[in-house]
Amino acid sequence: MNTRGSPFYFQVQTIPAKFEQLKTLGEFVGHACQAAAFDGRISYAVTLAVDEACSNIIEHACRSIPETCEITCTCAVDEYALYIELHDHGSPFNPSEIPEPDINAGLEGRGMGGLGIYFMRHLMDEVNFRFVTVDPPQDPEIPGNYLTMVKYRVWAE
Amino acid sequence: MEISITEHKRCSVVSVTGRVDSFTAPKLGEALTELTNSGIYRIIIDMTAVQYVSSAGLRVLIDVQKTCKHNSRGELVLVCVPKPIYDTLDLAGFVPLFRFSDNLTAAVGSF
Repeated sequence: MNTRGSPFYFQVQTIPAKFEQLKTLGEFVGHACQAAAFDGRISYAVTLAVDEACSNIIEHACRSIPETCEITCTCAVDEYALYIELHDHGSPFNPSEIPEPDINAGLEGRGMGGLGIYFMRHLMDEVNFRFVTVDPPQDPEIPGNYLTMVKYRVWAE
Repeated sequence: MEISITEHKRCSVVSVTGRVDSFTAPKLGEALTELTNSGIYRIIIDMTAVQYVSSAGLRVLIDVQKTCKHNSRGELVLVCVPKPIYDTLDLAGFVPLFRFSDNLTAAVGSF
């Protein structure tokens, strides 16, 4: 995972891709937010973005392998930002292909598709996605979906 | 997440405690659907003790609001919504779609 500076905090946790694990992952991300000295409002936003991302991974990418799919969450903090990378080895799932919902629509016009993605994009400062295919021997990375989100640390205003 | 339901003369109050995420939201949805299926369309959701709501929870609220509004004079009222959750509702553009109250007694009396 690329960071702008040298991380002073670096933790990795792997969870089964099940909805009941979202709470555990939320606590894991919460520790990283504390390391980044984020206040309660920003910590809530970051935790929500990760929850939405993982819910989509579980629902879409892992649909083909529900029993064995896992999500590996890497959190790193340097002086500039909190970096979160979510990796799964499910089907290719590019969240940027999902259109944003119409947030100005009235009750009848509100479908629910895309709300999770919308939250991720608006709660985090950067959202990047890539899919790594098996390409030995050049590519040493584990194949699968890599979703990276970044929340900048803002110092004294 | 825990749910407790109190029936009043003109509405029902659903008190929710804890997290409403992709895992727990279906349980909330089922409880609310049980109410609407039994003809109760004036529902107050007391969110005083709700810690967290993701889009899965918002989905449930929207679905139930649609059902309640389709039936005459029915609606969902959100009471004592904690600020981070209100901000989430605002980000989703949901604030104009619901009635809010900071006082449970007043909300019950408003029906």
